[in-house]
Amino acid sequence: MDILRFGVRFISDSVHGAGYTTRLCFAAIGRFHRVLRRFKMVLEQMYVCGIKPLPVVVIVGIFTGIILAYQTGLELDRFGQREKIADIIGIVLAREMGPFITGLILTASVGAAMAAELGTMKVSEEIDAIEVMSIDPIDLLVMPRVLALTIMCPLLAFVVDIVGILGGGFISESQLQIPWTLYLRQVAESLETPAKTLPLPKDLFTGLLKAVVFGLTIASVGCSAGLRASGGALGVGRATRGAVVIAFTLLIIFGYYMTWFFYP
Amino acid sequence: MITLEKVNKAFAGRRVLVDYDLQVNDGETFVIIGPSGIGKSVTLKHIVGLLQPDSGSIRVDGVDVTKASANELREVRKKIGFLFQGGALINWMTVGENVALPLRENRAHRMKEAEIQATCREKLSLVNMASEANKYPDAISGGMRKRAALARVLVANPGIVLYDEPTAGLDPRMSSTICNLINDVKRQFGVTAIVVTHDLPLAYAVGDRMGMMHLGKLIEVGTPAEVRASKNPIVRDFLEGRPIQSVEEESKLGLAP
Repeated sequence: MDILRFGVRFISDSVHGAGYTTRLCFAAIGRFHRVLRRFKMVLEQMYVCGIKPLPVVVIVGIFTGIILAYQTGLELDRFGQREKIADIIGIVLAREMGPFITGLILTASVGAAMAAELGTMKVSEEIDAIEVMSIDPIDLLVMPRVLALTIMCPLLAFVVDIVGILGGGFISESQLQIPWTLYLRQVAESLETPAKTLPLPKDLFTGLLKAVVFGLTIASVGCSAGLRASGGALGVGRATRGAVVIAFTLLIIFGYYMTWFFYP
Repeated sequence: MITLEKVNKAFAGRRVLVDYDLQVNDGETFVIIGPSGIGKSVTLKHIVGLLQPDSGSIRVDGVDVTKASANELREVRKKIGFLFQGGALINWMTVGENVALPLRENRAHRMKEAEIQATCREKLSLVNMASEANKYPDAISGGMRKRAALARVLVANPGIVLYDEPTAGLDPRMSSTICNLINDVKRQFGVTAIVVTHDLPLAYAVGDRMGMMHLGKLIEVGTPAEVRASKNPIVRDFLEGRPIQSVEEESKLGLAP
């Protein structure tokens, strides 16, 4: 009976949470036009979301490229196809790994921080105080965070693409004896397929679009978890953990569906 | 005028407000006393629409906040200032920015930055906090936080002020300061006020009328002198601070979940 009650409560909470997060996401998007009024706060959030995590993003990006090149390179070498390494690194990073790695880092750092920050504000009645002052908390707190992360996530994904490619190039040159010039030319060639309506390679475009969706998702989930926190420090901890787990899960699911949509 | 009629509210099966009636007249300061956890703050949160009752009506200047649209509720809230228990100052803003927030955010005030600064200085001076305007809430004491929060409440010139445990956690001298401020605010601005507290000296000093909450209702309402003279044993136990003897008694008083 307890298991049944737990199951019903879990489903009910999940549906309620999903509904709240979706509404919050659209409500924040609907307030993007007030960006000039919140310009300072959006800039501050862009710094928090995009500049502060930059060192981690660069280090993880470089090592992603290195590991990818090393592991793939060894296998390709067995089949005598080591020169294909540049194509694989370029395509994999641009399409999938760049946005995904960025999404993971931002979920663990920025998304969790958003949930903790807004959760603390919620349990210390700061959000209530904002509401009682007839101030829209979505406009004041959520919109700047969602907009900032939606802008910064694709920019960081692009950084991961670049440093990952350079990391892969380092391994290609040092371990697989592929010269830098050949490697970089092959990476550029592998990303040549143009997108239909944009002057960007399709693989890069779809990857950056994924990062836009990831940024929107991470910020919406983080803010939603924070705004629904209750029960003191324990509640803030629960909200932060929930935000990270849900955002990770959604990133994987959305990543799959976007890949399926663009590469049917 | 604030009127609550037959308001009921339960949390997870525990009835906190039971057919709760309350009327606070214009310009009056009404004090709600009662033990911690009895539902005093819940009453205030219903009045500003932060909580919705399960049944009953809550009218603020004729508007039923339980049925009000988002816009109507916003208009009602513009008339109300709410002093939260911990102050609820926004942590990443300075004291000055916190006080200026309602003026900057609500276009109804339509004030230029110089006017906003002047108004904030005036209200911070009123609570003797003008010198702390550039400090962050973390860097000031609990009493200062409450005074800064009071300045933030007053900056929007509300007609109604709700005080949630204004002296909780403060030393006796700071409690007296807050008590004087509540009386000053009433004298200078003629506000209607509800003060929720279990601090009896404060209740006697600021209340025009007071009521004691017990099991979701006001069981004794009158002037401070009338309530002090009450013969109701529950009121007497509370006023005289008789200790609670057992968990059973605590449960009987509606304090244990």
